[in-house]
Formats: sequence, C-alpha cells, structure tokens
Amino acid sequence: MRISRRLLNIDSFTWRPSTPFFLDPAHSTTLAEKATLAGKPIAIKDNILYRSSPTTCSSDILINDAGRPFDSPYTATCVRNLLDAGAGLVGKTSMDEFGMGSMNVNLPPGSKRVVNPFRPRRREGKEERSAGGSSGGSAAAVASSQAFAALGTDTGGSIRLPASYCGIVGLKPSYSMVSRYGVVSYADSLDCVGVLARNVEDTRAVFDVISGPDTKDATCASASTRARAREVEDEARRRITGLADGRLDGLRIGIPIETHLPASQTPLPLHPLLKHLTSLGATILPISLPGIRLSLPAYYVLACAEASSTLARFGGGWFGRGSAEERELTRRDGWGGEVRKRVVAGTYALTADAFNNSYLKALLLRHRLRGDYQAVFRSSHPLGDWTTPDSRGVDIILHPTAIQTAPILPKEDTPATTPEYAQDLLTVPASLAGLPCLSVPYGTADADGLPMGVSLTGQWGMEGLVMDVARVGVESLTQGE
Amino acid sequence: MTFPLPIRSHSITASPSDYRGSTKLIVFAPPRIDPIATSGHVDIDVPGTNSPERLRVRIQQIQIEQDTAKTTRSSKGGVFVDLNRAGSGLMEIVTEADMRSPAQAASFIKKLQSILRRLGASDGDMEKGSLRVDANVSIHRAGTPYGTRCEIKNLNSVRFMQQALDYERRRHAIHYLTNPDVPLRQETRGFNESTGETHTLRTKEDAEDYRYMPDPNLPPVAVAAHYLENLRKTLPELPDVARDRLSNQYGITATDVETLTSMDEFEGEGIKYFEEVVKGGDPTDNPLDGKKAVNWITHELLGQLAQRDVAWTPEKFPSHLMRELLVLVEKGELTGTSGKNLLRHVLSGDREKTLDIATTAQELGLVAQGADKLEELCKAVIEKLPKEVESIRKGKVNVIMRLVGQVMKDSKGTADAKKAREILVKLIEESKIT
Repeated sequence: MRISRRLLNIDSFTWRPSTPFFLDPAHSTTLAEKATLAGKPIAIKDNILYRSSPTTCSSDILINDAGRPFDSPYTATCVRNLLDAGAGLVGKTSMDEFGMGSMNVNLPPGSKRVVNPFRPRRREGKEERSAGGSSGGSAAAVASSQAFAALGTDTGGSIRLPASYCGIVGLKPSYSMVSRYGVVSYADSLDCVGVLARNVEDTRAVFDVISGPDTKDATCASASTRARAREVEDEARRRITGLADGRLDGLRIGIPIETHLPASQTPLPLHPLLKHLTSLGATILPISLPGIRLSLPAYYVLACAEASSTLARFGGGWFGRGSAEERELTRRDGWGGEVRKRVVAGTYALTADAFNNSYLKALLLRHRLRGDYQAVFRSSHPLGDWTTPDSRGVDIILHPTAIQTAPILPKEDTPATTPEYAQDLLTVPASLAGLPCLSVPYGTADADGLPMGVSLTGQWGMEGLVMDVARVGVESLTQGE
Repeated sequence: MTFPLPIRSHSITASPSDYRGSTKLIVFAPPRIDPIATSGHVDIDVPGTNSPERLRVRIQQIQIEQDTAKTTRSSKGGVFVDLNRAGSGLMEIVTEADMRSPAQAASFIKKLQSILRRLGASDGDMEKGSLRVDANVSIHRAGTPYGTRCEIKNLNSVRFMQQALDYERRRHAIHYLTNPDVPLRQETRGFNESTGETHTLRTKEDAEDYRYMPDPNLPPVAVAAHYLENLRKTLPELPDVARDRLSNQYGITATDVETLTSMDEFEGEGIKYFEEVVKGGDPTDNPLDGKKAVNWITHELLGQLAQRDVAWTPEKFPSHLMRELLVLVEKGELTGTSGKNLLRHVLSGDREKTLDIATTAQELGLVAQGADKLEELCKAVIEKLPKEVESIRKGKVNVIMRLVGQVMKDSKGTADAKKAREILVKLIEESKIT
C-alpha cells in the first residue's frame, strides 16, 4: 500500500539500552512454550515502569536534585508479560507530559521533538508533521521500524490518534483488560495500556501477551470475567459466517450519525471503505449515539478531575527536590503548562462549589453515553445487566479516528495552530465507554497525501472480533493499493 | 447486600496515594456510596445504683477508608508524619451520641478494643496508631437541648481521651456560664498531651474542602449473601456472649470472665483453657467446680506467673496438668498448700518432670499425710513443745494453733490442718487422762 514510505532514524526514544534487553531465559521456565514474541524488539512508553530504567513521563517533576530521573524499583505487569514471552525491550518512548496532549509537544524544555516518520509520495509541504500524542514516540518508533511494536497508553485517544497520524495500527483495549500495575496514572478510570504495531496481526500477538488478570490491579478483569467475555465474543463470531473465508457475511456495522462531520473535518471520505465492506458481505447501518455530542467536555472534566487527584502524589516529598521549602517550587517548576492547566481545572471541578455542576454532570454524561453504546450493540455486555442482545443491533461501530491528518509540528515556543483538544473528538467516546477501539489505516488523504485511520469499536472484551474485522475488512482494502 | 463504593478525598497533607475515603456524599444513581455496615451496637457496663448496668452504645455505621499517615506531635511542638501506613485500609466506626461521660467513653473504647481483637480485625493498640479516636462533645443543662458540638481529633490513648473529654466538657461549661448569650463556636480541636488542654485546629468557616470523588482504582465490592452468612457462622465467641454463657454454665463472676478473656483477647485461649480444666479431655470426665478452677487459674497460676513477670500462654502449665492437680486436691490427696507448691515447682523447674502430676507430687513428698503418719507427726510436736501443751491443759485452748502450725511446718505443708488439729486435741486429752 501507499503507507510504506517512511523516514528511518526518527528520534522517538527517551531511553535506549545499547542492546535490546531480553529476559534471561534461565529466569523464565515458561519461556519456551510462551515465547510467542521471541526476539521481537518492543518499545514502551515512558510512563510504563521497567525496573532499573529511567521513567520521566516527560516531566521535570520526576527528575531529582542531581538531575537523575526516577528509577523504578519494580516492573509493570504488562512489561513483565512481554519479557516472559521472549520479547526484547528496545527502549522507552517520548510522550506528552503525563499523557496530556495530542501532538507530543508537551515536553520538558530542550527535549527533542518527535517527528512523524511518514513521508507522502507527493511532497507538497516540507513542514515536519506531528506524530500525534500522547503516545507519539511509540507510534514513531513503530512507523519508522525501530520496533516491531510498542506499548502506549490511551486515556482519551493517545494511542489511536498517533496511530492514525503515522499510518499504523493502534489498539486501545477494553478498560480493565490490561493491568495498569506499574503504569503511571493520568486518569485512573480511563487509562488503558494498548498496542501500536504496523499491522493487525502483530497488534494481536502483542495484545494477547499483555492481556490477562492481575491481582495487583483491582480494576483488572478476572479470569472468570474474561471467560464470560470470550463466550459472548465466540457467539458473535459464529454469526459472521463469512469470516473463515476472508469475508464479512453476517457482520453488521453501525456508522454513528454524530460522527458525520463537515468535509473540512473529513480529509478522507469513508464511502470507498464502506463500499469495500459491503462487497465483502457486511451490512452498513446508520446508528445514533447522542451522547457523543457532549463527550468531549465530559471527558475533559473527568480526566482533569482525576488527574488533579492522581498527580497530587507528586507533592515534592517523594520525587523532585525534596526539602520542605522547595516542595512548592518543585510543583511550580516541575510541571509543564499543560499539566498545570489540567490540574488546576480538575481541582476546581472537584471543589464543593463546582462539584455538582461539573464533575457530577460529566459523570452523568458518561453514564448516558455508555447506555447509548449498549443500546446499539447486538451482543450483550459480558459484565452487566445493561440491555438484552438485540438482533437488530450492530457488531462494530465505525468512524474515522481523527478529524484531520497529522498536523504540522508547531515551531518551538509557538502555540499550536490546531486546537489540541478538538483532535480527540472522535476518540474520547470509546474511552468514556471503556470499549475496545482499534485504529487502522484506510488510506491517505488526497489533499496532503498523509495517512488516515478508521476506528472500529466493539462490545466490551471483543478485541479479537474488532481485530478480525480490521484485518478482513480494512487491511484488505489498503493492501490492494 | 451492600456495594460500598470507596470515595477518594484530598487534603493538604500530601501522601503518595493521597486519598481518604468517606461516605458523607450523596450522589445520583450510577455510583452508589454505601457504608459497609449500619445500625449496630456495643453494650458496655456502667455503674448502676446497686450493681453495674448495661448501656447500649449504637453504632451508626462502619465505613472503609484509606489511611493517609500517622501524625505524632513532639513535646517541642513539631509534628512528625509517618507515611508507612499511607494507602492501607482502615475502618471508621461511627457511634451515635449515646455516651454521657468520659468514663463511659473509656469503657466503650475498651470494649471495642476487646471485640476488635477477638475478631482479629485489629490489635486495637492506640499508642501504635492501630486505633485512634475522634471524640465529639456537647453539653446541656438538664431539660434543655444540647449545645454546640466540638470534635477532638486523633486521640491516641484511653487516658488522653478521658482527659481531653474532661477538659472540653469544662471548657463548654465555662463558656455557657460566662457568656450565656454567645453560642459556642463549632470547631475541630486537637489535644495537647503535655498540657492536658484542647486547642482549635479549624473552625467551621475554614473547614477543608476534601474534594470527594469516587475512587476509580477501587471498584465497588459486591458482598454475596452466602459469604456474609459464612462470616456470621465462623464468628468467634465475642466477649459479651462468653460472659453470659460462662457465668450461667459455671456460676463464675463477671470479673472472673473478664480475667479469663483478658488472658488472650485475640484467640480466646484463656476461656478455652478454663473450660479444658473444668471439663477434661474426655466426655466421661467428671466436670470440676468452675469457681474453684477459675480461682486456681486466675489467682494461683496467673499470680505465680506475675511474680516471675512471665506472660501466660497455655503451654506454661498445660490444661490437663492443671486439671490433674485440681482432681488431686479435690480428692484430698493433695492439700491446697501442696498444690500451690507443686505449681510453683513445675513453673520454675524443667518440663520433663511435669508429665505426671501425681508422680511429681510423690517425688516431692507433697502427697497428703495419711492418718498414721500424721499422728506420728503430732506426737513428735507434742513432745517438742511441752510448754505449749501445758498451757493448753491449763485452758488456753487457742495455743493449739501453734502446735498445728508446727505440724504443718514439719510436714512441709502436706498435712491437712483440720485433721492435724483433731488429732492433736485427741492426743492431748488422752495424755491428760493418763
């Protein structure tokens, strides 16, 4: 396909060992049987802990007096799983500070910015493009083939947006599918660890390794919950009779009318893809998820409120310069502007005066949006007494991942021309609903030749089905080109 | 079935996971916020007109929170913050305003401690910070409504709590007496252990905004009915139940039960030990007298151990040995004094010899004197103390006790004093005739 011309040697890492780090086979008895990722170089976002590697979350607040970044004494469950499966760790990737941002530009002063490695065939603009954020380093490392795959985190689109901008696949799993133990929190009720890779099957290989129960994370789904989800998913798969033959007969895809945006916000029309899907036997249906309209403000209230809580632990006593007198300074100087802005906004949302009219309203909107999603799915929610399965419902919800292609990287110290928050318009609904959502490239925009991703959202716990449809229905379109 | 939803709050004292749950918030349907338990009670004993009376202290609710830190105030005025407890779970037990005096509050706390210990929920150690008390005080003149309520935070011993409550009670009274028209300011107060006074921490106006929110990292917990039922079934015998049962079953006093309970507040080993001594290991064993058994345990055994400054454990003097000892005493094969000597010997000696009480008693020559042996001893004493015998013959009957004492001494306590007296009287009268 066209999405193959890439810049190599993009600097997207915050830390790189001289040779990829592999787990000593002697330490892992299960290595031989589980080594599904044997020898695969994998990068992790700089907010995921790996013992004895520096973790900065792109924040000065995690740098101590001596200028040394936080050195974690333990390893995140997801990284442990990767190493157990034989993968090698190639480094930690650049990100927006604490995951807050959509362009990977919220970095400590003087940091190297991550450039989108994608090079369009026609070279109209010479400007450097953003790799997206906040998992921009992970996306760039994968797109420039410096890693087989990368782990990112997605709170409101931080995996899917960079994937769309860089022309690769990005999966935000269902909330609570991948353990968050050892992952630095941004907003606890929204944070998901996910995968960025160059194609759907690579994404699946990594996801299958990192997804699993973990008693160290109380929100991580138990084995029995996963088994129930698998039953519901298998049932849904059986209804898509064409799947075994590389077709989609029996699949019902819903297009939310709320995601139908003006042409200026739709750089690559969907209809060629829809035609392709129909030709494979899928049924396309218009659906309505009214909650999407207010999901962006709801998301920012909730995410900021939770951020003000989770970032309260960076009080200067544990990280930073330490002394009592300097704690205030640590908080003032340690955080970049975006983080400070969100902490202040979130603190306000939780004050007794503002709570009812901001936080609670946002929570209510989130609850309604979840209801909207559950009302349109054909399969029932494996976890709850939401709605009964509806034969007229849909299996997959489809819409573009972003309202634009990769934006131009703003010159340093100049404000971005693109309103940053609006870029999350189409990614936050699945985050608020806790549903699995995969962004997969469906072509390049005519105007600038840059890649665009399409998002497939499925019922909770149905990452497998989402990836099946992405491979059969979307990758088959781009591979032909 | 309840679904307690943990709530996060935020305060100025920053801790790594800076939250403290509470349930003081009512929110619309989706997140349900419930305490883990409601509407309970703890009965305490309060002095009555004649005998102690039972006072019921109602428990409004119990909620689960996350601890932030333990603060310790130094005598120089500094505050130390120990963050090792940050993030660990804690129970907040909220009572109704049912206590009327510092003494009642103290006996409530002590009762609560014994319940928590028996349940294995906490060691209830206030000095270690395992239990802390926030006490609310308001006073009134009889027949008028209660005045302003003030809360004293973070009291770390029963004694300090009583001191604080007493000080606060006086403070309120003085205020109402001197300024009857000015309402007392509602505030949260701290207690200074060195001065014994309370002081303002914050008033209602500058109350902290804790910025409550549901804690996303702690999902609601569904407590299944069968799990609850199982907990109920496996509950250990609580102090109140034990007291009623033991006094009905064995006729022992409340104080005795309290002593048995205090022997092991965590596992109830003291009560178990007592019942093993009384009942024996075999169903065919004859039950011993409960009152005697409890006296031997609480006075002799615990007394001996206290002298040695040794804590009681069942192994110090296993229950079957204690039972054996009591059986020998009951049968008259061992006098009480000998029994105590034997106990002392076993507690100080090495354990090998203690396997058989009867044999040990024999070895030590503690077995009670038979009639022949006793008569010999008495004759010897009469010969040894002719003056005293003469006095008795002249009518100073009480002098006989000196002879009895000598017999006891010579027999090393193995003689039965009553029998010895009888024999002595008989011998002296016989000798008078001859």
